[in-house]
Amino acid sequence: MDINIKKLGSFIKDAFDGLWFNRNVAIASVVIVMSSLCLFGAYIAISMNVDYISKQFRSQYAISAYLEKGTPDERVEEIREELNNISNIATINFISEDDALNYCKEMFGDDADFLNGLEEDNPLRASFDVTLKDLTKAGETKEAIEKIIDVSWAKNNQDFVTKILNITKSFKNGSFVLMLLFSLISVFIVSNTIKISVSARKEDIYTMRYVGATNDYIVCPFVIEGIIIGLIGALIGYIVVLIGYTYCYYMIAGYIESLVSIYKTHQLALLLFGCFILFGLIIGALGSVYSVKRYIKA
Amino acid sequence: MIYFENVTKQYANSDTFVLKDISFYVERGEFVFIIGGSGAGKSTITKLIIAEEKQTSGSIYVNDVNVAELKDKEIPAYRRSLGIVFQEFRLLSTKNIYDNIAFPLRIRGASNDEIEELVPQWLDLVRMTDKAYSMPSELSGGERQRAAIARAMVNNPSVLIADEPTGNLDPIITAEIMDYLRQINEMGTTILVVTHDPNVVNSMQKRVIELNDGYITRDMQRGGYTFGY
Repeated sequence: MDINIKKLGSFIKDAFDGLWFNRNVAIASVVIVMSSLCLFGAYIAISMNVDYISKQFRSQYAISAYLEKGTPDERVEEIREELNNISNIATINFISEDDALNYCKEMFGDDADFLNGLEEDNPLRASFDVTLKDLTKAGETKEAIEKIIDVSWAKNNQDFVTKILNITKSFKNGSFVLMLLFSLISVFIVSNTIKISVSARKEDIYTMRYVGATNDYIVCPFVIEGIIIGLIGALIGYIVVLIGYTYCYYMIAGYIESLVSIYKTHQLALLLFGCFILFGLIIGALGSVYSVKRYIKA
Repeated sequence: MIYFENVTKQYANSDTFVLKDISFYVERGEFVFIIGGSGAGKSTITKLIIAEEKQTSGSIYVNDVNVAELKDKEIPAYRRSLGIVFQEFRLLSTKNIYDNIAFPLRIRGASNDEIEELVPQWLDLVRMTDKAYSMPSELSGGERQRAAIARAMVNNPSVLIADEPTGNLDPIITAEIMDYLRQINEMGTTILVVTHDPNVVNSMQKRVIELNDGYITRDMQRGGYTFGY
């Protein structure tokens, strides 16, 4: 394409002329782009938070390996080494009998009086809390831990974790398919809306050809028009999604903050902005090129 | 200038020949009417000259360019060397009259200085200065055709092709448009007018090439036309 700055300026002016001339169709196109991108934005926001929540569950998940009472310190160190050799274990944290008692006291707070005096004859066991690299292998890892001599038993909440993982996976698969479907429908609708705008000016396109305009000269203003529609739709959609997300955040965050946290608006803002601008740009440009191409044979 | 040599045209998926072995030569600076009834093949001649269609056989030369041999990418530049006026005016609906007339200059890559010099000149010549910033939809048929003539001429083409330029105009405006074409011809531009309007042909008394059923049946200097519609 032989396009210089002067031509680009002329194309941009032509694009704005075209938008103004077909302003009703342009507004309809902007609304459709905006709606599509709102769906897209909602998918990204939900998907990111599902990932985030899932990660929090993963990082909080641990298997506790309780040791036999009276296991000597040297043996505790050997057990740590043996745990280290289990490939799926990510981190190891030792909790002594005294630490366990202190945790209990902290947990019961003002009601911890009944624990007084247990320091002399502590009934609690020392344990290793281990986190895992791959939660789907939690069952095998637990079995491996229980095979270590002096480990009396290992405890985890496998069912809960499995459920969380399954829900996350199902949601991601399902929402991805839905999003793909929505995206295709959006591109189709946007492309058709732009096609109406282009079709309304097909006589202009023929005229441009007859007076000697090159294909670049004909197509560029339409592409810029599409890009402008895409970007305006993206910006409005972005603002709508940010306001909607902020509202939802304050609705939900209060209820779940003791359990998990979700992304704050500003943490998603940049990513959403990038995605919206890119998607709006692609929808607008592709829609225009696809629509105008049929009229530009020599 | 314009040379048709044994040109035959048959459209795809049709048994009918629209043009049958026609030959004619138009000299530089001539004013020529191509006349004939509906379906005689007049508009096909325009389409062949502006490279919208290709002949089935024969050769067409315009300004020594073999039109059929033009590559797709060469066609825009070739069309810029011609001035074209249509029955439906074909002004760009999203541009005002000034920008419509400036359009051929812009696609040629003319400088702003050149555009600012030539467009007002042509607006003045076709008496459209006061309508420069009107949109085509705000103008009468005659005004639109005057603007279309200015747009066709602003690049100073050596030949102007006018396909039924007065087809949508009343007799008074028709006379005015034909007068513009006559003046342009007197400035040295070759003019080829396709029409089926006998009044236009008879009033001008210029060379007439008459087509009937795809054949040239008459080629006459200072001819008239009595068949009409």
